[in-house]
Amino acid sequence: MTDIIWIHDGALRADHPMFKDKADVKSVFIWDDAYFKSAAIGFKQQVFIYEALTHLPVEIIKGDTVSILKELAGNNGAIITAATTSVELNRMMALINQTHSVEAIADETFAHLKSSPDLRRFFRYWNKAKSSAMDYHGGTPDLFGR
Amino acid sequence: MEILPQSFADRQALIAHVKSLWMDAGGDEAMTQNVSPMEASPEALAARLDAVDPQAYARSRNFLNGKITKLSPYIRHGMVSLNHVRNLALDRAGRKADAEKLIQELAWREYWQLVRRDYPNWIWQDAEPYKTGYTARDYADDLPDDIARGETGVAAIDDIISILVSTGYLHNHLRMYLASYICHWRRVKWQAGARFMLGHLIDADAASNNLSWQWIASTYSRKPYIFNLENMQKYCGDTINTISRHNIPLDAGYDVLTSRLFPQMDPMANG
Repeated sequence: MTDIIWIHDGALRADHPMFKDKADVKSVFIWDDAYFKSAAIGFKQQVFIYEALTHLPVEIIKGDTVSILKELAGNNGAIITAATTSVELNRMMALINQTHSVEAIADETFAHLKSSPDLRRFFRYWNKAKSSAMDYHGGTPDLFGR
Repeated sequence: MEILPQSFADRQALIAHVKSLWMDAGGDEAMTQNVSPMEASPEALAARLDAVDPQAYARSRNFLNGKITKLSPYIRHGMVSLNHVRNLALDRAGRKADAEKLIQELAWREYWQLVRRDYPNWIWQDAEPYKTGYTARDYADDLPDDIARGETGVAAIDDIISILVSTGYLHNHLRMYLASYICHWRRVKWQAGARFMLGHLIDADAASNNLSWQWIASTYSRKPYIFNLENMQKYCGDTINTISRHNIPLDAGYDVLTSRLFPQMDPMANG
């Protein structure tokens, strides 16, 4: 079994929660031109992304994201990655998930919401999120040592 | 499998490498003429975080020379979490209320992500009808060439496009001015403008960018956002050419501009 950490362009830092307890797992970033095109990621942003990658413990592989990750994970490996709302990244995760386990790990909490907000206007969201957002770690109980 | 290099002699070598990948993928060479001076290094990020000043941000963020954080490229790419920046803002603010404006702006980022999660179609489709008196069919599908080239003849707009193309970054007010000009002065579909901006910004994020364009266009708000030259003169300082005779289409009061840009709009319909 070969688990793989898939770093995508929405989670370019080494202390993202997806790395927790995964020190021995190989990390890869797939330089996928078709993905960049579908997500409208331009040249200047690609330079920024590549520069960030040079500071991370990651192998950069050129090619098609889905086929490369499936090949790296072999028959039984899982793909561990960062949760995202990106339409294009989630589409690829769904394709991988047809044959492999995909664990999409959420980033640190910004705000806890007690109930689903009306997302049609910002201030309806803010009115529900404010008390949590204005507190350290979104008011999360003492998980982070403060 | 082709493994790509991870270390380079210097930044120029890295840029040349990305350019070769871009060209191999059939990218437009003209797009490679500029890179952003903002670097994606831990040192550059640390300097930005060191400079965070919530009180000064709240006072001055609307001005081009205001104390904005310029953290958006790092937040967009997950190099720092919203949680980290919020905690830093609370640490620096003294009184919690002094951090509210900055934290509220962080919340906008979170909000757009949640909207995309629940309504992914809104990234490229109108969330609501235009409230401008026009329908979507009245707007051009494609971005006019003079806008892409930054040669509209409206000096302030051309200055904004020049900054976007050369640096990959714009102050939020400049993004709003440019989006409003494209949607409302030129009557171009917000999708065409959003795609143009995504192609240049180093913090390009389809959720924040496209949904903000919909807010400007009025397909995700109660009324269209417009500005005028007086507003630009107040906030832009000397960075942007806001001389009246160089910006005639922008130089009018809001009532005049509203009737000129939206002659068929029912002012009562939008509250």
